[in-house]
Amino acid sequence: MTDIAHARAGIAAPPSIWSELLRKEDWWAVWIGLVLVVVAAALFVEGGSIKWIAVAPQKWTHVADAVAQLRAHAPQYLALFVLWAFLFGIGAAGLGLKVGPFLASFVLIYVVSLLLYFLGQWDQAAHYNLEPPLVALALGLLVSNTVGLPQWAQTGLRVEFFIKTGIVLLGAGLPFTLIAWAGPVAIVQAAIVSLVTFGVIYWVATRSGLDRRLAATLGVGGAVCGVSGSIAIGGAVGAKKEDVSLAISLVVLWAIVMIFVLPLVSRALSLPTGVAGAWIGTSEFADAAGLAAAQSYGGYAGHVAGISGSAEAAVNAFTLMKVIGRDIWIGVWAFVLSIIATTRWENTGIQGRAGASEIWRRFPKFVAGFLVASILITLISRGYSYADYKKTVLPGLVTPLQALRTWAFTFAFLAIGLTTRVREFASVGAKPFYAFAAGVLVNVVLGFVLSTQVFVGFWTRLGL
Amino acid sequence: MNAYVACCGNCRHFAGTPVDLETQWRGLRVFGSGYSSVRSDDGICRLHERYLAASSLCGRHESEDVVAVGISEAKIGAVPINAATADA
Repeated sequence: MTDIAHARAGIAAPPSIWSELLRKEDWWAVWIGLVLVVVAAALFVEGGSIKWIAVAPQKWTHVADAVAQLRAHAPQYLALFVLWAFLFGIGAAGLGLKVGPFLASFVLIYVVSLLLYFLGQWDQAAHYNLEPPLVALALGLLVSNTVGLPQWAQTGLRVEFFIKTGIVLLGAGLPFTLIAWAGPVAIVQAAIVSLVTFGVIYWVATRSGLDRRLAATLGVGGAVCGVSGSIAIGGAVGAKKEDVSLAISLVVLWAIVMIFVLPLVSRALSLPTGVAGAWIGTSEFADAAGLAAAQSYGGYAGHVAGISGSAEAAVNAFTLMKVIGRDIWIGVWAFVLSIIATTRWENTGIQGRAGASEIWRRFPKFVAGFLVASILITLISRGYSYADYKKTVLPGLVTPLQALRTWAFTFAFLAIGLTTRVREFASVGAKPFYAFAAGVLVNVVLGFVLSTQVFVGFWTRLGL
Repeated sequence: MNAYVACCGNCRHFAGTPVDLETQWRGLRVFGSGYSSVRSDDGICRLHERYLAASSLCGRHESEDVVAVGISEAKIGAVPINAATADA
């Protein structure tokens, strides 16, 4: 008992919560996103706007038009580069990355993203399926799996950093009243799918003779939040090192497949944008992958016959479903499974001692930034009539922030392809593959039924 | 006063920096990150070849600062579960 008491008295004091504010990527995404939102809001209140620097390509028909557009706005694109490089550079320094190589790499990311953004504004882009997220991904995959990138160019490929910053900015375009209205439905739908998907993967995996810790790591990766879910659960339950590697490989493989499949199937079925976004939010595994799929599908709105709803609805529905419905519960999953692993599963000789504080410790903090951004812009917009909102707030405040969000997402989509090197993934083996695939199948079908049948009226209204 | 507390996070077998994890799992950076909040301070135990929470502990803990933890591997396995997880 003395030894036990000693062990318990000696439970590690975790690093200070305050130290996390500077050493975690989630917090840096919050700081960068909120700085932009607060500056934009302050300027707007004073009668100004950030729209000069939040420059974005406009629709074009001929290449000469695009070139002329680029020349006319060159100082703005240069200023925007400096702004992003400054903000992400500070974040990179805070995370301990080498700032020089990071910035050198970011030059490449920015220039290619600029070209992709322009490509997406070609008036025939939707006709040829040239949505920037899909093109960025395909281009990145091609480069990384053939010629590759030099080491210096890889430092800036921080998919999660970019995507989390973009999600914080996304909050500025999503009224808090909408989050409050739609959040509960998203949580219910996501909870149904998450629990069933986890159950299927876990059941198939354990029935196949796989270790329960591996089954849980795979299950949460497929059911909750992809790679982030797998590493959170892997650590919480004490999974074998190679099992985490295996789960990461499976999640990445399926997530990339789904980036292409879900928008294509949604397009074939002419799903309204809000409905497709909800389905993607239910059935994609990673935020970046799902946003690539949702933004691609949103790009069809107004360009492809039969697809109703706004472009924003696909991204908004996805975010509600994935971020509010699934991501924020990862700490709870980790806490519960860590207790089960300790109390019910075979003893590994290692004593897990995580407490309820892990729920907050593992909470994806960028969600807090997303909510704060939403609340801030909602408060500013409160005094305006709908007509004034569309005339004043939208072009002066919300649209520029949405343009910045699209930039951040484009950086991320390009980085996904450039960091995906197929040969580096672990060999997964048949049993884990079938277990995960079973979960994917159930997830996709159940997510489709819930999005297009059970809650279809709700998600359709979101897109109006 | 911050007394030394033995745990995997301060064991010499523990590799828990973001670089450690992203080097070990090359695919981690595609849709995840070694710098993310969700991973808390988990890391890889090079001795057990497992991915563990930094607050974990085993009987083979080794630190340059404190070696004697006063707890054997056998007793770790015998720690009453509720006692071990209740207020960590």
